[in-house]
Amino acid sequence: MLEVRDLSFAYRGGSPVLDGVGFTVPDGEVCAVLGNNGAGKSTLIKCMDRILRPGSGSVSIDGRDIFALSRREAARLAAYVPQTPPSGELTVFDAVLLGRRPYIGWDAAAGDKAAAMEAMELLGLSGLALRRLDELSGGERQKAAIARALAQEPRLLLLDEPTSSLDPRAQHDTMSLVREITRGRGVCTVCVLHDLNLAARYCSRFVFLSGSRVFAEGGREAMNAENIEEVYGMHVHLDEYMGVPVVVPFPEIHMR
Amino acid sequence: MKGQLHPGWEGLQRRKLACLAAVLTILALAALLGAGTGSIRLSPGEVLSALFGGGDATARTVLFEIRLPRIAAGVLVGAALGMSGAVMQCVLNNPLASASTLGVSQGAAFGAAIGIIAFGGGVTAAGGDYAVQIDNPYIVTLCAFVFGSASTAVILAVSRMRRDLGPGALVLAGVALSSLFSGGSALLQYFADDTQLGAVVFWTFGDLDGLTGGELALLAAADALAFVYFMLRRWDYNAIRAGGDTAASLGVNVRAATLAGMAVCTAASALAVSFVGIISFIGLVAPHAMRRFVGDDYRWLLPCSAAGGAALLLLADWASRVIIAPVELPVGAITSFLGAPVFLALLLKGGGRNA
Repeated sequence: MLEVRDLSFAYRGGSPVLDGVGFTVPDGEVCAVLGNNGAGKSTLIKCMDRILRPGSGSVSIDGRDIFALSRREAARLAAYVPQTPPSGELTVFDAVLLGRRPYIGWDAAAGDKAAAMEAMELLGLSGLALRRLDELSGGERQKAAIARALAQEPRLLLLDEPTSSLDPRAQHDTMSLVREITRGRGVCTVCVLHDLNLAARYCSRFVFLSGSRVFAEGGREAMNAENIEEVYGMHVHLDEYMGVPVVVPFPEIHMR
Repeated sequence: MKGQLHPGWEGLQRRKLACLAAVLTILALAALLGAGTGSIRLSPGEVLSALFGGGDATARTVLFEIRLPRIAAGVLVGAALGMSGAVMQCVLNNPLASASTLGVSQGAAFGAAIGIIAFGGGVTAAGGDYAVQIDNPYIVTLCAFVFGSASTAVILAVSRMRRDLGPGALVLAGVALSSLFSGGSALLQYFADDTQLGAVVFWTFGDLDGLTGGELALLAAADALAFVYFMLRRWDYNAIRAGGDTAASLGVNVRAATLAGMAVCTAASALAVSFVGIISFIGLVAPHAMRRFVGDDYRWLLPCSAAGGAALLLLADWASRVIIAPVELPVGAITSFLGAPVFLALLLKGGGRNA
């Protein structure tokens, strides 16, 4: 169970980017963070993983406060997948093995390598293990980043727009994989998304950010037309096609 | 295959180990070559037998009094420059970073000029091989160290104030500092007398000769400490190469790792340069040459860059003695001839993007 309470953050000398943000995510569920550009979605994810230090508030997972832990302990609890997939000259195996850094003393033990192998297998990367990251496609590199996060064996998985650089097929593959892993491992996943249809289809919790505050949060019932229209300032119609939830925007209809 | 080790990966690690072994072999051969070259020539067999107490007395004297200290200086200075170059390129996220491109060398030269001219490091004309001799090398070395460090401190401050600066901009800052220090050196030289001027010019040539046992021990201690520190941080450097946010999420204190890494790099390279004078581009050439063989993997890149830098400097020193023997060319000039083309090649490859 993830509990975020009263999280506030402001860049030095700037107005607040996050103001008293709080929400909860049960184990095994994927939570979408939704909102316009500049609503503070990426900042929220970074604060939750201590990449940025929030001014106040707490993030606790299974009752353990992330901010009270050492860097190394926190990195064993929470893993982060950045918006831009990793590149560089490291092999995929070495890049995934980096996820074991919070566990490694002097050198990687057999257990660390096994965990990296398992994570790669889960994402179907075993065949690419010895290829260099910069030789791979965007989708494959995104998968390598997710594999690295899984190798950390976290309780909390944080994803910043994991589909932004992917083609439609890879977007769906990635999101359904994230949902499967979240359920299978019973972790809490928080995922920044821009695509409302991906969010509606693969997530079961929703947090709407607007003006640096939480506008609404909750389960499927929170993913309704009123919330979307209020947060995005755009008329939408929600429907279901063959059991798949769809969000159809009507930006040409002017809202009051 | 689940949960098993990756057979191909283990093979790759062995290949990287073989690369390190190959570099160390080249280093040993370069040392053997350097030990035999000079006004008294020794064959590799004579060098080896003198090394283990055999051969004639002259050969032993030449080897232990002249050649070995020089080789030790080459190895220690080359290793310091090579590994600090590798780490600077990582923590500044800048493929063009190295002690010489960030102005350490020019800063050290300015410091040496101050030491010789302003603080009266003292110069006496002497006969023999050397036109001039520096009387008080400690004040000169100290000044060189202080000003060599000062230039990286400024670069580091600039890079922290404006994080959006690309690789090119930091090197340009290095160029600006270098010309500032060169201008300062020129002014000092203008007011210097002939012997002081000679000493300054001679210092800037770069010379591996004439280090005392104590100085070599100091260099060796600095090298060893820096190497152990860098190796302890090698996973952090790989994480930083994956991006600052990713490194932070893996539990790395990026800011502390950067500051401490730069401090150790600066201390090690400024110390090396302050003892031997300007030796450029080793910190640029060695890590990039090694990346071609072991990749951007600091677990292997660090030891390979240290060994590669040492081998490179020994070979440059050997070349400086044989190109127009018996005249000895300044070794700093040889490394620059080697380094400038590599620098240009890196620019063409796109290393200066986002400048």
